[in-house]
Amino acid sequence: MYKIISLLSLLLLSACTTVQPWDKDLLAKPSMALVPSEIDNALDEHIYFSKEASMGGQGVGGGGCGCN
Amino acid sequence: MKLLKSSLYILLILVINIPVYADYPPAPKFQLPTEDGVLNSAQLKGKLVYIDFWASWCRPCKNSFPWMIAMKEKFKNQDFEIVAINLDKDKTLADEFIASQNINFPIAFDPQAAVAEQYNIEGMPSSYLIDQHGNLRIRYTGFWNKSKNEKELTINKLLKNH
Repeated sequence: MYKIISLLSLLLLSACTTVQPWDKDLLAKPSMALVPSEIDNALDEHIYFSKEASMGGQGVGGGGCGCN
Repeated sequence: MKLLKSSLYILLILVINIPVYADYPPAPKFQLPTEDGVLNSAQLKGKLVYIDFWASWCRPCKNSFPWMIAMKEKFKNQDFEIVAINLDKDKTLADEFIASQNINFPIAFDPQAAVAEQYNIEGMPSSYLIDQHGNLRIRYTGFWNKSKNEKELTINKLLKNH
């Protein structure tokens, strides 16, 4: 019983909310992009590749505006 | 008996494949401010209306404007209207973009997104074709160059079929 109550409380505590399409204006700003500067990112990637002999694994597709 | 059974099967297949002519739902009514006053959806009755929800921060929304301007120009002698509903919270951002375009259709402002909520939009831009009886016919989410011709054909068809 205690476990069920704890589980239900955890579910109630979840902060999941849907961002409506018209509220995505802040997310669509260039500064909100996961890779805000392509040049900086390319340099960082180059250094990382040189040091670690591995690359990639960063960023996601899309700009966050939910357009496409 | 075998023939009867086969005929029944064929009949059943035919019945299942009869298209269902569903009634289209009525489009939500709205009354929104524009640059010149107020736009009421009742004013649009009898016309085929392309409603577009857009915002200045959404690039595909802005990309759709040249096409919408061209469509309005192309069908200007027919009962066709385009209404672009802006959802910017800060109207000055929308004004900047509007000033940069030669827009030939009304722009309404819905900063609280009350009408967008009624239309249950899923992404930006979202567009709807509302027929001459005020019913929602087609919904489009997003804007792609590859779907422009298909949209134009649909508009043409809905104008001709009326």
